[in-house]
Amino acid sequence: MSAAHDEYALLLSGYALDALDDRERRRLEDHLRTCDQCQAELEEFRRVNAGLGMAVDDVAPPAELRAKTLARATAVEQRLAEPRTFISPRSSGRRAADRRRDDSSGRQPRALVWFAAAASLAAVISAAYAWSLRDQLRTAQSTVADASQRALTLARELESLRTESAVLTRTVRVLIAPDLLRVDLKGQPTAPNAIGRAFLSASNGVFFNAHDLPALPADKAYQLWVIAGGKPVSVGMISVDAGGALTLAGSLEPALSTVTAVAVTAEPAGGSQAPTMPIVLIGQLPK
Amino acid sequence: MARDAHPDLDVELLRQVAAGSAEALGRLYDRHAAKVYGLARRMVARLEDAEEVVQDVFAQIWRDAPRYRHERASVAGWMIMLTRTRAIDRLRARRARPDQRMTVDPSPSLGLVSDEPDPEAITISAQDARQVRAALEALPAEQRSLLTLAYYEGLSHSEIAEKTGVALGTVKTRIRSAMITLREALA
Repeated sequence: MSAAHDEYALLLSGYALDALDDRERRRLEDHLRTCDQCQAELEEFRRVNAGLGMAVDDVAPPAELRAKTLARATAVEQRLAEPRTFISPRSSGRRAADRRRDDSSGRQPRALVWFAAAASLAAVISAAYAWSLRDQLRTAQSTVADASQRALTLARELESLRTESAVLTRTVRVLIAPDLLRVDLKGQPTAPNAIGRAFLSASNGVFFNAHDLPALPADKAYQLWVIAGGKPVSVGMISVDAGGALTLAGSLEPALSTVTAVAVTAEPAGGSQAPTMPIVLIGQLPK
Repeated sequence: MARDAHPDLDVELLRQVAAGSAEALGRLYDRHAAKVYGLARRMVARLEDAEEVVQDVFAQIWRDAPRYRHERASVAGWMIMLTRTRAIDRLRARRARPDQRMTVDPSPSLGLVSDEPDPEAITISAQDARQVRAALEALPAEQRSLLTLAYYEGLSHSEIAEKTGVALGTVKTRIRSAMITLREALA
């Protein structure tokens, strides 16, 4: 055989080992398409490869690997049994040889050459693809982390919305009550600009709102009272709603017919049993 | 080797896998996973990578079983070749990114012009493998070490030359001599 051919022969074992550089590999693959002898020799080297692989001692894998492996494997789609025919523009020289070989051995046409090419190209692209997947996974993971954080915030917001909603429901009930009484409250010397409004209903309770009340220190809060039968009865603590207004929706303990006035005082944050002077806002019920 | 006493069993199991039997794949796993894992461990440094190689191999077996022409070939041989290929993929990807968690896609359907061709059939028996092993151990040390770097570490000729300081031409000829000797052992 020619010297040039010897050169190819030299490359064969390296090719079988996937140890060639790209240039050598491509040259050899071009040659292999048309050289039966090299194909045959390559086949023998591939058997050596298999032998080298089987020459390693067995190592029992960890027990949990079995389930993982089988689950992942069977999730992959199986290929169809009919092989697709690949027509290579340069394989014409091989086809006759393939047919001869097929007839004698019953083996299907080998596509050795571009199997190796496709496999190594695929390995490179796989690695690049895997890296792009990895980056996408990282992004997805941080998105998930953000989403979890937001979910937590939303849960808290939902909680406070629910509380507000309960207050609003009570408010609406008061305001649509048929026996609704409206009382306007006036700011007293300690809160001259304050204005308040109370709606009372025997059946549905009290709704109160006010604005321009002076801000209180953190350990104090405004408390709402009704004066019934000459005595102050607490309705509840007035809170600042989401819009910054001071509101209260509460129940009315005494009979509406006994209530003569509605008043607001400043108390310790937890509330008091009896109002602390001075009165901040007060309104009289219509006689 | 008990396994080799039933090559027909492997062929039958693979046929069942080709027909979609996960149970048959499980039995192939039970028969061959230690061999696959052993080679993977020999080739890749990290345990997690070796485990991934095993998974890649069995995923590919599942995928390609319908295409495998097993009339005259060794299922074990095919599995070993898959193992080496998948391990090389991981080795090379790992070399590009030493510190990262790796996933290498075992099914490269990425719009390549040519689809991956049908699995190559290899004829090799356990007896063959024993002979190769004996011949490997009998090689001159300088040949054996270079062949080991090429086969088990997946290094190219140039990488081996760089790593060992041996001239590139010498690397090529020594590896070729080693392979020819081993080939004789199979003749």
